[in-house]
Amino acid sequence: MITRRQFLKSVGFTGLALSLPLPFAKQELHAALLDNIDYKKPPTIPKIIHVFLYGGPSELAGNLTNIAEIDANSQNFYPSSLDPDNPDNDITKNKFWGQAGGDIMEALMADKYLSIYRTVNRIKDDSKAHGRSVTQNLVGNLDLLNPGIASTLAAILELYNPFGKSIEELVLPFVSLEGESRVFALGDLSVPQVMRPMTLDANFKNPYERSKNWYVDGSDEDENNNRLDRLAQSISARYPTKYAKIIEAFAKRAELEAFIDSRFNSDTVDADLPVDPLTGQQIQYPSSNFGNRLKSAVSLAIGNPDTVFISLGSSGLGGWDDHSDALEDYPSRMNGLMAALQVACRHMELKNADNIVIHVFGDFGRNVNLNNSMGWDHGNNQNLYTLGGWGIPGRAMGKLVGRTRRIGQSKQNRQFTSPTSGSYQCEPFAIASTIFKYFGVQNPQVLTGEPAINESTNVPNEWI
Amino acid sequence: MKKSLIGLAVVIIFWALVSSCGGGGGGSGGDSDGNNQAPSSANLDQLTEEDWNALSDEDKLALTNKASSTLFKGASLQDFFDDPALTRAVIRDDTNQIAGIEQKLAQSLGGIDPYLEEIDEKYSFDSRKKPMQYPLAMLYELPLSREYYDVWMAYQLINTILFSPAVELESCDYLDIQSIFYRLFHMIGTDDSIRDIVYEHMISQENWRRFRSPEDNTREMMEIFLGHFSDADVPIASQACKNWSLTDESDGYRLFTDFDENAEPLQLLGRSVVDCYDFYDTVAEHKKLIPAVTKTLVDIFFHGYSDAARQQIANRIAASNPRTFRKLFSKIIFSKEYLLKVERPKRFEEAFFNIVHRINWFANRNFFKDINHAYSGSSYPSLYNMKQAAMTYKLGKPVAIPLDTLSFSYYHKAIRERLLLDRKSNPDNDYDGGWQVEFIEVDDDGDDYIDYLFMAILSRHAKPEELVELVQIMEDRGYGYNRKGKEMHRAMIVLDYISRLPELYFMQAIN
Repeated sequence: MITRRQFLKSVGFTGLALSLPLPFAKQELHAALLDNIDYKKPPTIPKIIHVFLYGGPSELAGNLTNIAEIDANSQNFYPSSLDPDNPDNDITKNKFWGQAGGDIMEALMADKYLSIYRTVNRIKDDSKAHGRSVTQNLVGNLDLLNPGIASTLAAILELYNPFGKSIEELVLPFVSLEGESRVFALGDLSVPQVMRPMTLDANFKNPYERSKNWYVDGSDEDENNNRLDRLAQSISARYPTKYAKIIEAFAKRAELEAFIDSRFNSDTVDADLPVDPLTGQQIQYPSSNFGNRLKSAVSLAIGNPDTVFISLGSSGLGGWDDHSDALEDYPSRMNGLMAALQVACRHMELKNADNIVIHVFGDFGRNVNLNNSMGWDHGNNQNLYTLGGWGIPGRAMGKLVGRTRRIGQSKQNRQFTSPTSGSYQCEPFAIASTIFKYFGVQNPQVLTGEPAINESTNVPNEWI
Repeated sequence: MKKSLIGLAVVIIFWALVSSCGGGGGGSGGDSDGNNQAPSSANLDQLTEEDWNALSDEDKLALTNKASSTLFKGASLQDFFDDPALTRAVIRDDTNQIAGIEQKLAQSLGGIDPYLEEIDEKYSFDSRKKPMQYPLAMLYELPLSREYYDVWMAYQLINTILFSPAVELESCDYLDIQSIFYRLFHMIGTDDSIRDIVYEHMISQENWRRFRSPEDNTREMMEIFLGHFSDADVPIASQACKNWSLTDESDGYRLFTDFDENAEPLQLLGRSVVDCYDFYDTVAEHKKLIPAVTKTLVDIFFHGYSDAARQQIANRIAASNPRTFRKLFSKIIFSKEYLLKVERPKRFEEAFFNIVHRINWFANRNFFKDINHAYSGSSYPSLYNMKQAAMTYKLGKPVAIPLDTLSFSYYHKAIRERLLLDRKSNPDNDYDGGWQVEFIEVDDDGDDYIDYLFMAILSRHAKPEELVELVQIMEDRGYGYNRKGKEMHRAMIVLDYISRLPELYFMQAIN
């Protein structure tokens, strides 16, 4: 696949029309998109909640199909609760780890809220290095300098504008609940300010509020405050590149303050949570890091029509790099995540929000050998948990895809699961392709090098 | 012919633009718009007397404060001019102030106990989190000295990927901070080599609490300290460390070594390695160690330069073979390239503590506790909320200062509401911090008074359009120059304005 950079350089060598206005880079990237992308406006504009599990989550919560062999060959034993021959084991019907969220996964799959792809497997550049893998997965490409998935999406949406109104009128289309993230990296793209991510606090804090300076304005007045802002903006506008991010932050401050005050505070969000007719009570997210963040994300996606991409991942979401003491930490963390996702799905259903897709994945999977610190070192094959979005055409839910086998030497550390020879598998960049496809790109592989995930019935569903 | 020549010119121009996309590089002066193209050759020499003498008084002040800011200190107008009233100001000491700073950093205080006693008396700390809170108090109270430099270097290093205590991890503890910080401070102070300091860190329990298995630890040591990203070498290295492990939570996350050592010689990193000590020794003695450590620090201080430029700078510094961190840091922060050319966002400590030392600020009793507060429910503009928490992250503080809207809002809030608009109103109350009235009691009046505030904080004169608008606002509020006793009112307007200028949060190139 030709990279964006290679394409630009090739165009440069063959010469350009003389009439191209500046900036050349932006125009040529648009040209690249126009020339290479086959776009068709989707019937429904989706929304993506992008949950990235930094550190690389073990797949075992969602895949115990090989556990007997894994345990037999591991340097250290797994607990008897994961012994298939134990009549009281914690292995569910579809080979999930019950207490590690597996029981919840069974329910989510039965309700067709969730599909699991068990074979997101690197063949290209399997470095097992955090930095490299995180970056590649968040930019949806082997090229580390590629723009992030969200920035590429922003450029596509700016170009094709499926919204039915001017891009400039959009309110918070791209939101981060985790601060800076490579998923928003610009690379060599130029994205209008309105399409740049704004960061909100998942706990509804409003640091955008400015305390009143009574020396500047009297009560009920704000004019001098605004004059100070305008003066500062005019001075700093002389250095638009150097101070770009801070200029943007100041420019958005008042808008964000107002947005949080009026629509994104704990009172309004909690008041808007639907009543579940099965219980007669408002749905309740778990009071946990996962619960708070997913409540924020889903509420925002439902409540703000213009929000199309929310990024939700940080070490605060659990830090999945379980090199030691994994059996103590991982199951409860996975269970907490699944419990929050379950409420999120119910929330979406009760609000008829069938266009919100939640993707959950990480840097890579992990070893399946329990090392001498009782943890799992870096691996490869991982699960993609994808939830919601049941209104998006072609998106099949309740699917369990992929078959794995154990590979590696017995009693050695490097033992992994790997797709069987006949199994469906995909590179992690297929997740980015799938996102682009949902938004109307018919050939997303030109952007990522990988086709979108095959969600058709051609791919066997292992679900029992 | 003409059209084809024009076409060729367009192609060349386009190619140049595309080739430079994403690059950063050396600053081109204080008024540059950050077009930081990689310098063909960075000037890593020290500033000379001639360089100093060629600067204007304003630039001398700016340069002194840039160096001071890097060291979390500041030079007030009172320090710099014999009369802070700018209409009559003459530089107090016209010798090279940068050289003066370097000299101070080489002179010992003869012990820091008196300062530590004063810190313990003046400030309150959390009993458990004190190791995280204490170093900034040391940096605030200690004067520039050899010991100060040791503390500052230890603070810089403990916040990098090299030595982070990573207290965000369950396996890591606040006491780990104390162990790491003291070890760095002590070994830097006794001029131990970089290699020895790295070795001692690698074999420590604190290191294993961060990287917790043989594969994890050996991989990260090779990546972090050598820039060696080779997955194929990881199983070999982990074989050498096979008898090292971390116990679980119930056993206190302790480093445990058993007798099942590797006995088979392994070829790794160009040497024969048998056990884990061999592995760490190999890393510590490797020719790539100094370049990798240097690059880590260059990436921080020269952030904004292109990767190629930073690599070039790091290579040149590493080629001089700095044996100690003292030598290494000095080569970086006292180079002409850094002092005169670097433009980058300031870390919170660089911005905040530079200003506090310029405006007669008083730290309240809880300040060092509050600024390091890690409670996510709070709206207090702590380092944690700015995503610049000290000693917390597994991979150290981010090299790029978080300037997303949320993180920056906290940063701005701290500067505006906890510093520039925070006046100490009760001189007898240790819980009341802020700038003290002496800061604004100067003999300048009228436009000179506004100019004094700009010079005091920004090291530049107010621009004409700033003077016009600020004066107009003052008059509209009834605080015009003809109103006596309204200096503080006028100051609060100007200080609020200054807090909204992006330049306040940036290291600037010096013209």
